[in-house]
Amino acid sequence: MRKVAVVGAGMTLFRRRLQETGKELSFEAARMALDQAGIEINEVDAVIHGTAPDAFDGVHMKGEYLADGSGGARKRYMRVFTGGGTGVFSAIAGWWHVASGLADVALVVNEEKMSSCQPHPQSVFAYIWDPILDRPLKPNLVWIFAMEMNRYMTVHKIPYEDIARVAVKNKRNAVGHPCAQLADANITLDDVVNSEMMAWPVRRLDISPPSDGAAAVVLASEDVVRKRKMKEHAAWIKGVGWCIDSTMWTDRDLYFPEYVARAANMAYRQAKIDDPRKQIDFAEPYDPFDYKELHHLEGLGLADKGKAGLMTREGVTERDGDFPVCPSGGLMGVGNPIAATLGIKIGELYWQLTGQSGKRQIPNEVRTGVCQAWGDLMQFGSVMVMGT
Amino acid sequence: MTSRITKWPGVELGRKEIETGKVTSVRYRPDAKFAWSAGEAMSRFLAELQEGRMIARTCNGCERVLFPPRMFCEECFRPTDAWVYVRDTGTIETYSISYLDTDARRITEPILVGVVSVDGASPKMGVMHYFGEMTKDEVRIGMRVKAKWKPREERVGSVLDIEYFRPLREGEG
Amino acid sequence: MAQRPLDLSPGWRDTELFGWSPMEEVIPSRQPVGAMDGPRFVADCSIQLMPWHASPVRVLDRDVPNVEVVSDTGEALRELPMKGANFPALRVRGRSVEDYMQVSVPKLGRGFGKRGGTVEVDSGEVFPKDCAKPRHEGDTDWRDPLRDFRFFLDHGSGCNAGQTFIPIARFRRAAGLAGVESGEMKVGIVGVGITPFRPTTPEFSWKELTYDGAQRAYADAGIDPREDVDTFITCAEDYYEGFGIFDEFTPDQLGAVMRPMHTVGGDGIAGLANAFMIIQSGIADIAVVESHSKASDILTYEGIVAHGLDPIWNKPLGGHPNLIAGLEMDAYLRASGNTTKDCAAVVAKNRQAALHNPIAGHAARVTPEQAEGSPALWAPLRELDVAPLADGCVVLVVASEKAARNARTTPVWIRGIGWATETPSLETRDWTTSPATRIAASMAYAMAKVRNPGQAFDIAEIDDRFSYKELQHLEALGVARKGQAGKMARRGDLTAGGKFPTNVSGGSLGCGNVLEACGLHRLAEAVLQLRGDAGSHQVDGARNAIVQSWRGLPAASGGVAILGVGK
Repeated sequence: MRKVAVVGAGMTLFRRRLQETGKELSFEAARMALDQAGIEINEVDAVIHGTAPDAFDGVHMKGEYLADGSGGARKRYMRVFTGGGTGVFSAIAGWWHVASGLADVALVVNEEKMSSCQPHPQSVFAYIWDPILDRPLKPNLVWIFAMEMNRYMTVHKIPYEDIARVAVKNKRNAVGHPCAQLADANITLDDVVNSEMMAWPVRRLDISPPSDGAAAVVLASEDVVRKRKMKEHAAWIKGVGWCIDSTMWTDRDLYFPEYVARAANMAYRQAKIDDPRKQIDFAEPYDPFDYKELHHLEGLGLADKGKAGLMTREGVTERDGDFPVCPSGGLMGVGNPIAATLGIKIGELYWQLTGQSGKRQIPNEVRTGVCQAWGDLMQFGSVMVMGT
Repeated sequence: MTSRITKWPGVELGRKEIETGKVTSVRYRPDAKFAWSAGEAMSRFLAELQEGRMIARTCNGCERVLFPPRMFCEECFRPTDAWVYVRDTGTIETYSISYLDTDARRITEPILVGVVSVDGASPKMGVMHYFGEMTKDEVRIGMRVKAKWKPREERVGSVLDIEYFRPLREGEG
Repeated sequence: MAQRPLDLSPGWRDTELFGWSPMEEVIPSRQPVGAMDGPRFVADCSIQLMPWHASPVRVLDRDVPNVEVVSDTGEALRELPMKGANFPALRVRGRSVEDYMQVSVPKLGRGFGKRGGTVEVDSGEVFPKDCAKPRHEGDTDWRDPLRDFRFFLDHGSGCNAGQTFIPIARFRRAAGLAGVESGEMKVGIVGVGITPFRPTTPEFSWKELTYDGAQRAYADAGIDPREDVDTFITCAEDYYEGFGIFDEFTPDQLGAVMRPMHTVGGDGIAGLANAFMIIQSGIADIAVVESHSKASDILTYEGIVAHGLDPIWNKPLGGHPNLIAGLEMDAYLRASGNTTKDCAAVVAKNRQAALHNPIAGHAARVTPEQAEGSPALWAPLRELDVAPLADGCVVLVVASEKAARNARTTPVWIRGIGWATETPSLETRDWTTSPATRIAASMAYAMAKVRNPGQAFDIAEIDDRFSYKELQHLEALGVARKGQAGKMARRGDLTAGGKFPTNVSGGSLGCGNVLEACGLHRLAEAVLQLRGDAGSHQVDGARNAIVQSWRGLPAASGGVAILGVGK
């Protein structure tokens, strides 16, 4: 198995509405990643594009539509799609393009333009449900998160404040992120606890909003890194894993994401990690809602079941804590353009491991990190372990 | 981020700029209509709902009673074996009290919605539905509930043939 | 290729060191050279450029920075001009034999060979620096970004004058496509499941239809998906299915619950490429690729296809999306010289061939006259030129060489695979030659070491969702020469008993357009042919197949796979 490294990353601003078209956003991110890596587009052997529901951008076969902006014209171009899990999964697909030997350099570009969807991107989420069992009830996406959050809190008796603290941490962390949509240096626990109730137990400040944005990373094989002397700004992919659970979400107990645990085990096995809490230095789990950070930390085996909230309470997961979690500010702080969260997960791991995170740099030395994305109907987990 | 990157691409827009036409936009409504075949399992499921009954399938491989019913067991990966009725009573597994309606608009009277695991099926086999005849302070995980069916003439073969699940009363189920 | 006297320096001998073909014209020579002042290494070579190569080929050796390539007039060459069948002679000069030592040995298949030749080592030349440029300051080990031409010289026992060197070279294509170096391990298809294609399947939900296809494939392969399969892949698009995130609705019916599974927004060959790469990366031994069509659930098919158009440039124009195929058919026929009669012959051939295929959904005794007489709804495209929709599911089981040893069936090896996207833009794309097919083909040919596509395959299964596409794709693949595919169709060369059986399954015209599953359908048909399992429509002795797919309107994307049985 060839070793593969991330050698450059780029992303656009994440905002509720950006003027650029999806193609332009893809181009900006791809261009930035290529420039950072010192690679030209004609040195790229394969382009992998990750993007979530076509309905946001309003184009069927959205992957085709974005091919030229992503640098995929006249190239090997592949679109992968695992709902919200695409943010990490497309980089996994990029990994196997290079690890298999079919490419020496791969460009992974993720884009999302949720603002195109009218009257509100939320409307698209009406169509993710089973047409016979769920859709007639006209469910709102927030309902399903609320149900999962309720189950998680109730089974483990977790106080709401422990969850709200994650929102505070991440929105404050995001102050150091130039692309952040929701950074807030002054947010307090009270702000979150008193924010408007959306669907109990979910409040407004527990949710990351829709965003437009794009992100890209460049992957290169070991040979290329060596010949082009890129070691200084390379972060190696040590393990990849992914897993999907049954469509029948009403038959599952939502308090623990078993599928994330299995994806993590697949990645840890490859990375030869048997004690993740000790062998990993920091984590970027997927946090579209604040409770999800805790839910996923437990799924990733980085916290005991029901105990992740304690870590936040005790400051363990602060950037200067023992085990920084979401030093980027996460989706809660930077924004949630579904697939483009590549920039906050893979991108952040890359920037942290190569010491390029600027104001967000974790003060302790970090050598190994894990990032995770999550998608579909509380169903899919993708995990990547990276290290120097 | 890194000192190497100085410019972060992206021009932010507000809703007004689109509404007032400061930014040119194109509007399009796709012609996208679908009619999904319900197939064997769901067709029977819906027909039984119209009759005021809930039906499941058994799998002799893992000895589970699968609800909602399906013609294949996803664990054993074999065809399921027999139809079996389940009860219209169950237990609340999780719920939400929603102040958002289905278009994410705010409402003052919350909608109670959640997942009910159904009696007679294997543990945790559930269905999502509304809750009624209970206040937001009364709803809780573990509450025993029963389906309130619409009158026979109003049932059409849909999950909405059940209006909501309500608390189980003394002497029922 | 005749020997060409080259007037360089005293003692220099003109030799052929390398060529694509024909081998018999290579003349090894082993003659002593004259006085040597010091090391200068000269090697000669020539290259045949395949007709479908789209752009000029850069010739720079990335691993040998001091190598220069010069034309027969002595001028340094950075690009080989496209000359089709001409064979420019080239010379490579370097400073020392060590400059030519390569690390990896390319394996050349049939048609290639080692050529004999003499190389002379001479002295003291200064070479122009701009053959290959350093990428950044301090870069001494630069690499040619296009990585096209690499010499490998199998060094003898010393760097002496008059030594015979045996050069082996591998050609790599320009424009950023790597010469594909797939791993040592082979990957094969060991199971196939096809549900009968039907115009409508009201008794099945899409889940039940997929379960049917999956069980057939698993029975064929003799595997239990819950125990034996490492990864699952589905090829699907949300708007064909009518869901916001179709990926959610995929695992249960394939046996993929709590397993690694993902969706590819691409056709069947793109899905197979994913399986191929995942297996070759070493993390899986057995992969399953699925795709299906439940087109009968779509009430507004044209609306869905039109929804794929660019929202700013194309959607506002409206119109039925098939007019894009009509435009392309017109452009293609004009450019190639093929005719609508040829297209009608394809319609008749495929719809009738489908009569012998038990899974076909639209088999019919359509005659060329009927095809030519059907309404010209998007002239020159006629109603019968368009493959009718069908429901169906195709599942393939793909295995590494190791796992394939225990297979119940004869493994059909994937000798080469390629995929490409030309561009989504209608305004800037090539409307005649299907560049996506050409690019994908060159990738697959490089991997499979195919030099002469016209001779290398026994059967072809290629996209024919519009009749003219079968002709266009034959030419884009290099199987037919430009403008010749139509003649082949009219002569009957493409029928089951003809010189080059193409779409003997009936293709999409005869079996039905199963949307993203078309590519997998063709792969499945080819696999059955190569295994000798095609029953009523078996082509005897088929051992090598080329399979090609296209994603359908309005995309310019496609894939090519080369399959073969035996070693």
